[in-house]
Amino acid sequence: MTSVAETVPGRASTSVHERRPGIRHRIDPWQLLVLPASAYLLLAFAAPLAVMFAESFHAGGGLSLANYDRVLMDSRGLQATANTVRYASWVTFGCVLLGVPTAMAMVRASSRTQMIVLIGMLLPMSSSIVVKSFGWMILFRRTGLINETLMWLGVVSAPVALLFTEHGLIIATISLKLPLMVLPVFAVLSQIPGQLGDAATTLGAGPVYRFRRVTLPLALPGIAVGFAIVFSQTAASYLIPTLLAGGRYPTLSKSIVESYIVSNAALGSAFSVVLLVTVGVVVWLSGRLGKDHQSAR
Amino acid sequence: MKRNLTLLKAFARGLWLTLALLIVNAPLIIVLLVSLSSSPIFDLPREGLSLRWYAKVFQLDSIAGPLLTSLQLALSATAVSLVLGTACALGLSRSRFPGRDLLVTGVLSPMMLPGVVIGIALLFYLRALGITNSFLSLFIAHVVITLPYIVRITLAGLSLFDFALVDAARTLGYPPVKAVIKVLVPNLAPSFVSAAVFAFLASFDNYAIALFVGDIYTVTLPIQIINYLSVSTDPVVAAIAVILLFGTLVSLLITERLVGLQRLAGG
Amino acid sequence: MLDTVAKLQGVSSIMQPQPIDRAGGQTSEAFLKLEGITRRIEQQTILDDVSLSVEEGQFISLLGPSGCGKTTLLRVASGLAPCDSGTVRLAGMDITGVPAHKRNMGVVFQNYALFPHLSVAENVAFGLKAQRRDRAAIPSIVAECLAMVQLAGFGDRRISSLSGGQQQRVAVARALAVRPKLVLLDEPFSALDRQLREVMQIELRRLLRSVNMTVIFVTHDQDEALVMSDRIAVMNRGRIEDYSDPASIYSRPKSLFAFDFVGLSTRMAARVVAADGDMLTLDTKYGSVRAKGRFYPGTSVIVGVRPESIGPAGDKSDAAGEDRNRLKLWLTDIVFQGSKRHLHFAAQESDRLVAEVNSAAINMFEPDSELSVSWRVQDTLVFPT
Ligand SMILES: Nc1ncnc2c1ncn2[C@@H]1O[C@H](COP(=O)(O)OP(=O)(O)OP(=O)(O)O)[C@@H](O)[C@H]1O
Ligand SMILES: [Mg+2]
Repeated sequence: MTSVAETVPGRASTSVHERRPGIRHRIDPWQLLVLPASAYLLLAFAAPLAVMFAESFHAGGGLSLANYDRVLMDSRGLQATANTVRYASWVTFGCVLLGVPTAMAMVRASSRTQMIVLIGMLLPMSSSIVVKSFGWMILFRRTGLINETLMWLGVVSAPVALLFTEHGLIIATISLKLPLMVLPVFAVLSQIPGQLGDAATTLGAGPVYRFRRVTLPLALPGIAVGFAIVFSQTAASYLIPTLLAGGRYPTLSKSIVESYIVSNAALGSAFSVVLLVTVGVVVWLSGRLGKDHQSAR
Repeated sequence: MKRNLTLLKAFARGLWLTLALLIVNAPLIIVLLVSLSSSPIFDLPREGLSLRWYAKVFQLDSIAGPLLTSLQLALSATAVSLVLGTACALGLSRSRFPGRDLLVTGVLSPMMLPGVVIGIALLFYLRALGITNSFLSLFIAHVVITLPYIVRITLAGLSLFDFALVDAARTLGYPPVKAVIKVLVPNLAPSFVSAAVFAFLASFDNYAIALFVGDIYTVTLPIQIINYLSVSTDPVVAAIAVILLFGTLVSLLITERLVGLQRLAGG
Repeated sequence: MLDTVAKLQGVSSIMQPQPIDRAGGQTSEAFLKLEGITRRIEQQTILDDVSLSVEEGQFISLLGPSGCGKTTLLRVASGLAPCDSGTVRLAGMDITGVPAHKRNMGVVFQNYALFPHLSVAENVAFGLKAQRRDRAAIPSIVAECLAMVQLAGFGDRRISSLSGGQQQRVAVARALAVRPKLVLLDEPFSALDRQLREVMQIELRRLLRSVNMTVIFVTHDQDEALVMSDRIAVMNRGRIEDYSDPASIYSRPKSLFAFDFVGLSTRMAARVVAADGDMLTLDTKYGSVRAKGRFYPGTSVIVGVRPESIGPAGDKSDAAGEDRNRLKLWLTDIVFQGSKRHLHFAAQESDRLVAEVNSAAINMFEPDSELSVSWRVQDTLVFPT
């Protein structure tokens, strides 16, 4: 056993160094732990983005806004921007519309049902996007299950076009992104004590009033998170519109890849910056929305 | 009367949830059905079930290479991210310094940013730095995209960890670093597992980076599947997809056993 | 080494008092000596020139309100936190720079800090393994420690399956298992209900006494400090205001803060009108009183009296020949306190007037009436404002 008496003599001399009176700003050793990851991201993430940002102002051997002119003024560039925003907005809207009631139904369900639904949401969310897009391709074909069912039901007489159309793309993407809305809303709703709704009922609140005044405000931080994730992931997705909408539906991420293929790095960078700004604004706005409501509570 | 209403409500709720699950899982179900079909083109199994496409997967040499590349990539990126990310999360949870919140946002932002943008930015950057090895480039990029998963999940786990345990270990005789390892690692094991699983899946599924950074010698599995889809119409791809799906299901079940899915939904 | 000796002798390894190396020749020095400890965090002084000496085998309480720096002082003593100036000496050695893991002090944390991933026995064995003690001896030491805190047979239980009181005892066993030089306990009873707390107070004290352990015990509960300690250090805003045995702390507190913090008592603002040697005459809002002390006439002071010193004038304790103060006060409330009752009188501004009487004598008093009270002059305390 090491007694203090044994350890002290050797240590006593170091004590002077170990506590330096007068040094105010002792560096917290914990603080140093953030350095490796920060340095890594600075070098492998922030620096490339900065270079890309600089590159986007590069045209004809000098600095200019020519690339942005092509992105925002050229008809195809403009169309890509408009498509991306419209596509992502519809998908986000659809996910809110379907996702919030789903999360509400989940919190009211038994814990076994909750577990089943959770797995049923997490499995498609964490499985390969290539696989899922592929599944929708099969579903959407003229002879696919959806058309066959619709015709069998007599809803339509001839197969409807779903593959390579915008509405088909939106429907498929809603299905692919829905878990990203359901899970965060479920997470906040399941933290709300169940008596809150009962309390409102005993105070004479009807179901509509209760939803508007109790459930919705409490779910808002979760909706804001889902909103940001669904919008940013949809706007950024490349594979889904490529496989399901084809070449005649330009989006920003497709334009980025195309510019790269034709070796126009500067143009691709300008498209990237526009995409980043679009996503950034929406994420920031939804963050504000979630925060405002949290502080209002 | 009242009872009937409650029953009706429960029924409506069940119906809605079933419908939602159906919508979300529709592509997976279809892929499963197609993979079991005996027809040589993508179709539902009308003429009977068969496992021939699964058998074919294992004869396909164009899959083994990319699968190996993807596994190596996902494993190495996850391992490095786990070290960097855990240290970072520890630092973030233990200290307050100006700009801390900004740093958190910065570290988590690769998760929010479009993969194609990260890919294209890195491509030019690495090229300018003279790094042409495409596995190395992919690795660098995959660490960027897996790191936020590790930091976020570990940070959530740390918020529930009592750091007095580290002090206790110190007073009982462990020097500071060893005390942290002795106490933190076993207590945070569930967080580490779920963080690693999610980081692994994020890397394994990623196609956006490899679209730019890979070359014909370094093809990852998602890219190979996309390539395969554009040249062939046989349901082998569906069989591959189902095998991947099975892998995902297994890792989710492992995580569920260790952590519980409820925590993942919130994390 | 010592473990084997202890085992050979068949003596409990815990009960064996630690040999203390006093090679420094400072045999007269206190066992633990904190000198001029100052700690600042972000310009804020958390500990302000704190000095404290603890004799070997003594049980010391640190008593003070929340946020006064008790935990911080323990952390400095145990080496978990650094200090900006001052020295920590243990058994004559300067250990100020010795890191926590080499100090061998047993610490029981505010919320126990038991390792949730380990069983009860593994928790107790943790320190023995950390310090690489003889592996073969660990199981017997663990069993002995658990028996000592009356948890024999609980070794395989998970921490989460224990009650609060059991967890607390595991924490004590874990701290004692490494046979520390001294034990630091940070509000070990704060999570326990009152009844269990009183049982544990007596149990813990007897246990630590039996192994002749030197103890610093942190609490913000004055009764706990009075019950358990050999000496009490009353802390306030990073300073030690009074350091004495419980009886002196109670009857002769050195500061108004210590007087107020230990017990609900009578206190009145007063002014010194005359000083004759050390006998003062003071003017209060309720009449004139006398007290011993040294103040200049004209000084504003606070007069304090413990409630049990005050009794109704004319009862049997009010014997003739004793020098007593007498006041006529207006009785407003009688508050039941078990075997005692507190009489509350109408007081002005920040004054408080309380007397304590036996419940048996209660019929003599009626609320909303005037009552003459008296107390000995020597029980009258005077504090500068
Ligand atoms: N790491 C820290 N950073 C900033 N301030 C601190 C830190 N640790 C302690 N303090 C401050 O030091 C003061 C004393 O804290 P300490 O924990 O020692 O109080 P305490 O007497 O143990 O109180 P309690 O009875 O509530 O446990 C408090 O005002 C606290 O806010
Ligand atoms: Mg404290």
